[in-house]
Amino acid sequence: MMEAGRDNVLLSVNNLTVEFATREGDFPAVRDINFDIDRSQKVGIVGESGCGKSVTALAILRLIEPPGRITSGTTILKGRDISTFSDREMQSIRGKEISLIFQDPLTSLDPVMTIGKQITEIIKKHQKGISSRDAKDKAVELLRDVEVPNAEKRLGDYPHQYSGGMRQRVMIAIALANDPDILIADEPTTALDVTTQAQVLHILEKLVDERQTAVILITHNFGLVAEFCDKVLVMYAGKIVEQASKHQIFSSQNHPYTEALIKSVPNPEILEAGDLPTIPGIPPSIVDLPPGCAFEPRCPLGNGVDICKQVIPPRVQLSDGRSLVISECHFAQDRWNQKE
Amino acid sequence: MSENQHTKELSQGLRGGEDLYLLWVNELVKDFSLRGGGFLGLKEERLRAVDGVSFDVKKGETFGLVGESGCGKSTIARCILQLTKPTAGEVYLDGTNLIELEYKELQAFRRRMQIVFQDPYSSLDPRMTIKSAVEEPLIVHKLGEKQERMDRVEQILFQVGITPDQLERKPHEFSGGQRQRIGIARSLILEPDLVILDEPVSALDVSIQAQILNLLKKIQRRRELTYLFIIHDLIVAEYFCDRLAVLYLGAVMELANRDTLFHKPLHPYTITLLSAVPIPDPASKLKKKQIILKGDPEIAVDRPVGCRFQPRCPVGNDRELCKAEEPALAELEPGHWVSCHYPGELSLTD
Repeated sequence: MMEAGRDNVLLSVNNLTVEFATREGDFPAVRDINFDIDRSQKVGIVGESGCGKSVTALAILRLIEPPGRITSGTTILKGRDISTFSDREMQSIRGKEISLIFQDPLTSLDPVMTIGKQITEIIKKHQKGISSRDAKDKAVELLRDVEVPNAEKRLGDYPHQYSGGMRQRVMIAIALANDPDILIADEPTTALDVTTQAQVLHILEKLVDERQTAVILITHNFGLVAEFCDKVLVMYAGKIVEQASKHQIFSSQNHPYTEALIKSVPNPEILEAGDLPTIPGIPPSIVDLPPGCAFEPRCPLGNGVDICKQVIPPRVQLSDGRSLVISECHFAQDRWNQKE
Repeated sequence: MSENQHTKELSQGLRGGEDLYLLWVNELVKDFSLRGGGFLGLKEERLRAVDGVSFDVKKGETFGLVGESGCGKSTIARCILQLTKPTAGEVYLDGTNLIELEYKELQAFRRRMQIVFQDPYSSLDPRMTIKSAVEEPLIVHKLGEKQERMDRVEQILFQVGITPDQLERKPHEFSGGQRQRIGIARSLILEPDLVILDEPVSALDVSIQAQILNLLKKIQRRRELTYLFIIHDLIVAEYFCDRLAVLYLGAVMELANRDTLFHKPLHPYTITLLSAVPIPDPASKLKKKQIILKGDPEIAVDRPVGCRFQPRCPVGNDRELCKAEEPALAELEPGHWVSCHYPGELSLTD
């Protein structure tokens, strides 16, 4: 299921580092990350605040603004290295080959432009020569796809006349208008009620499955990951500490952070009367990263261990022939061997 | 059954033994007027945010108010705390109706109920040291001398994990989780009986949520506190609450103890809500079917007759009784109240 063959790889991010310049010096928000996205694969990027997951999404689309900058890495999209593309070349990628939706549709949608105009605008931008009539028809079709009732009439409404859930569905419509290969969704349902969230995800899943669109879902909600994703990337302090299939991540975590994090998520299957397991301490700030593993101070395994304190853990590929796990931990191989 | 008779039965049913109950909310109503409706914006419309809500909270328990935006849970909290005056209904704290009290009498009761807010980033004054922020309630209520106050402040902050060397710092120097601890300390300094927790962990990372929830439990045990927990995260609600009320557009749909509500719910809205919660476990057998609601919640402005959930209800949508008559909140089994004409019809296991 994983790594089905190199020609299946749609996007390949290699050695990506993003730094932010401050008066005190340059600090990395994302440090030497590597991952692949296959065609129609649904990948979740999880991690707590400050881990770098949103910066990763912006970096893929070269939307990092100063004082941030990408200081290393290549981003190969369908065989081409887009990390060297000019801004003009990137404009033909954004919204067409890779789309992005954010948490808050209110700030992403222009409040003084009708919904219809915002959809047709993105269609016309990437389908040069399309007639206004055709673009409008396409817009109506998209609104119907995302289950907005009275689609034709509602083209003329403004964002504030739509509910929160509807606005997010419109964002999905806009993002999918030009049939992108990849949709990046950064906390798309965090601001929504749980029933609205279910509605939006149901529609999103239906559409991406129909169109075979790959999805990168950035979230802190493990429930969404369990329901929606195929593969999971766990980030901590700017690094991808573990990558594995969804089933692997939930059933047997290799990296101690992944294990501690999953355990601290309240799970109705294993509701205990006692205290919830926690991770002591707080995530480090990027201006204060230790020389070795960033998780070491909080790690039940590595806390106090010299190599963990001094040496950044290498990326280790672990395979048993069926599944592949990539883990960045000095104990990764040992832990893998133990579970056999 | 006449309305008065119904209310009386309801209130007698809800309040089992009087001294057991710390808080009793009875037929609470809160209207907000909206200008700007109608021609020329002159029409004044009324938004009924809370529409006859009744429930009570036993001493020492954690009672959950669960619901989505527009359900009225935050407005109910504000009415209980007398931060806003209800349009109708009563709020009894330990047997006294707070609505009838004069300002000075109310002050004495105010000490007994405190609130912890959702957003640790905006609920602390950025210009005050945390020492001053936590001391402030004592000054407002004119309690203790300077040294006594300082001792209490240090002690309570220590109990929530903030050490004395951090007292002179300002909020921005702390993380979200630490700020929430400070907010909790501030709510406890007056030694209240009731603490209202308004989404206390929603803005926090998962591993920090766990820390704060454990802290809240520990404090509750130690101080015999009663919690009113306003929450939208149903998994956390199941973990934390003893009894819960599910609210929709200002009214109680279902009220029951934890096990009943989560394992044997009867109201279609409760069932839909539970089915919508994503379970953080792909191998889970808990969710057999997911019910997706159509449409969007309507704002309860001059709401027409009938059940408020009917337009979106998988069971009652299009049924005559549901369209014509609002169902009464009825006790279907001891302690289990449901407001529905066809309770139990919806199932997750078909």
